[in-house]
Amino acid sequence: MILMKKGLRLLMYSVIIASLLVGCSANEKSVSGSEDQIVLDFWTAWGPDSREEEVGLKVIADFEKEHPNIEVNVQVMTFDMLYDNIITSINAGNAPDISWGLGEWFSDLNHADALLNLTPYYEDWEDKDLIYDNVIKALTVNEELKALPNYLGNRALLYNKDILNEAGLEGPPKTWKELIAMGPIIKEKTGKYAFGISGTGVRAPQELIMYLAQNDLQLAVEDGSGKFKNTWNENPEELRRAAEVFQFYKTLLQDGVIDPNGRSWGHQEEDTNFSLGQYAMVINGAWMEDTIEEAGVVDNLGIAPPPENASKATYLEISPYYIFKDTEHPEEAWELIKAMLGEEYQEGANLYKSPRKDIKGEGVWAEGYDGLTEIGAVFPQVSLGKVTNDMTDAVGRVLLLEEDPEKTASWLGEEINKSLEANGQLSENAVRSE
Amino acid sequence: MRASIRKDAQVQPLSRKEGPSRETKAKRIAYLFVLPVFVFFLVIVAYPLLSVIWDSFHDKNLLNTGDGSFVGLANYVEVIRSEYFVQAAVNTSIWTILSVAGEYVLGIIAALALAQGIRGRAIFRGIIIIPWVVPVVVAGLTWTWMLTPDYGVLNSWLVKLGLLDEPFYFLGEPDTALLSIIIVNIWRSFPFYTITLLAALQSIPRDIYEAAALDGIGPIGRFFKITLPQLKGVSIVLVMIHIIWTSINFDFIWVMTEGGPVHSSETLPIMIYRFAMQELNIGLASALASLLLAFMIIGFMMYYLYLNRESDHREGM
Repeated sequence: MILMKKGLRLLMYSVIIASLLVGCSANEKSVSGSEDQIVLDFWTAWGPDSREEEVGLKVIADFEKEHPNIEVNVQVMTFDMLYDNIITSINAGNAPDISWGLGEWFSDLNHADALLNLTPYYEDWEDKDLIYDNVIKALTVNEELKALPNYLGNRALLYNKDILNEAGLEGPPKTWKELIAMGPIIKEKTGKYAFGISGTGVRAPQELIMYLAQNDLQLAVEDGSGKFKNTWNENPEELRRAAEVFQFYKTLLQDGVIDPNGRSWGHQEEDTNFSLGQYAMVINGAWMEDTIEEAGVVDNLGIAPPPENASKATYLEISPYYIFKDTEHPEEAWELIKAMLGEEYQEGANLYKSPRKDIKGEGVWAEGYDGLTEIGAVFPQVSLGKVTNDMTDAVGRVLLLEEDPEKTASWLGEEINKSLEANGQLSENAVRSE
Repeated sequence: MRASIRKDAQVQPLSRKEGPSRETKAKRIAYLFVLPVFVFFLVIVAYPLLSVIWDSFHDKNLLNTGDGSFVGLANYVEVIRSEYFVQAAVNTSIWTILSVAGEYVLGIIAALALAQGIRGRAIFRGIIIIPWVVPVVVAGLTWTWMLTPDYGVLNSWLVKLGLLDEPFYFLGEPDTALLSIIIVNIWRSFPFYTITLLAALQSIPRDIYEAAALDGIGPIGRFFKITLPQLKGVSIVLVMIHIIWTSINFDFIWVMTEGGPVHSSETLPIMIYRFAMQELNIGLASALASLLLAFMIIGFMMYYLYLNRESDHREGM
């Protein structure tokens, strides 16, 4: 009887401990079907009911049919969630096999040594010559290709022809000066603001880096050994040009070129208000195609290169696919990436923003964005988490806190170097921008 | 008496064959039942808490740039020297004090109104809970749209009523962003006060009010001399709970402004998130989280000591 009681007690303890261990155990990847079945975890940020989701799911379904031993487990989330999940999963040793992501994350993920070296696969890829060279270069670190582009978010000047015509203007501005001069004219003749900017969110630093590039400035210069430095405060001429960029923002506001409420717009307000004809011009990407078509104003749309100052430049957003180093199925993950870079997906989802040279589409979108990839400026390959926040703050300091542009430029230069130092990426050498 | 029982127990020790006493068995079973909770407490509360405190003294970065070495108080110093720390601490205080005060005032007004014998009282009591059951993200996004200058309904009404000359970006201006979120937070949270205070109001004996009325004390006097003192116990618990909930609140502010513009609505929890998930610096995030925890503990210790002194003072009288 006593033995029986002891046995029962032992059993009860075992059940409790076992259930706790099961509850706390790592979540092993699910394997459906036979033991040879491979499951690829693919994380993405497709918009709900978007064309990219529709075409993407079809391409993946076809891929699974062609590769019956591979199942693709697609998880769709927002970009914010995607970034948080990727970072935490890398640290937990449970990263997905593949993920779509923003170009701004590239350096962080590479710095965390989380990305697979794709060079051997890329070298053997029959379509490798179809991808733009400068895009591949931007995704290559120490001669190792660490990601492949999903789409290119080049920025062009979108303008509303009706508003410009109503204001008696013949065409869009070619320079900053022309843009500023048009502001009061458009406001007077149409009652609408001439231009839209994004002062908050992910797009604010993207727009700022473009204006800096148009004034021949880099956020951080590489010293040749993989270390970087912001050189504005060491070089009065660079500081002057950086201050000129922030003065440009200030002038846009002071001269009534932008809506005062637009100082705090994020990308949604910027896109929506332009497509609704609330203002005349915006620097934006080809993804506006859907929004413009929905608003039924595509006939009023004109596309031109962004206004220049010292140089012609735009922001080249490279939106990459990442394959993570810890994947147990690199070959299969590479095959899936190849499918997503295939003609079907790229023509269906990225017709006007494909990283493939052979897919350009036709009409106003294709013509408007043609040739911009070559003048595209990209973020330096440094950890950008704090840098992009500081860039957004810098725009806010000038527009909302009315700070002196030179003071803001100097502050931003210092903050960039602080961030580089904190991440062990600051160069101690005297470096000069090109 | 107890001593004699123990003595007896020593005189007549239990033999092995008799086994443990009924009391011992009951205790063992009790421990067994408590064990899972204790394990969960260790895993879910104690371990993360100690990890945060441990990380706050180490160079830890999610990008692996930190070598994990012990850095003493360096993270704390860096956090306190951070450009936005003081502003975030002040914002946290403003956010907490104004939110809790506003919620309490609105909550007690609504509770007093709903305690009256008005027609349709049950319906109003049901309706008033709605803001509190709306998920924070839904409420935050809806209010964000309503406050938008370009297509927000509130701006449209304010302009039509002549209260504004042109639409105003309440969440986009440094001077109004935090205040706007506080108002929305009060709107969402006051029903919790209302239902709690309403329940407490109904437990106050009516004869106290009747006696006071007979003594010639008016409604305002009765409120301050009877109602508020009777609600003191519930009110203290409510306010204390909400001070904790509000000061560590992250989601409302993040959904509506992400702490902007230019950090004008950034509170300490938002700053912790920025350190952890944007700068990926777990050492700094842990140091700030530990500081926030310390502030809370100090605040509540001071309150506890004050209560003890008050209690001693009353007993002394």
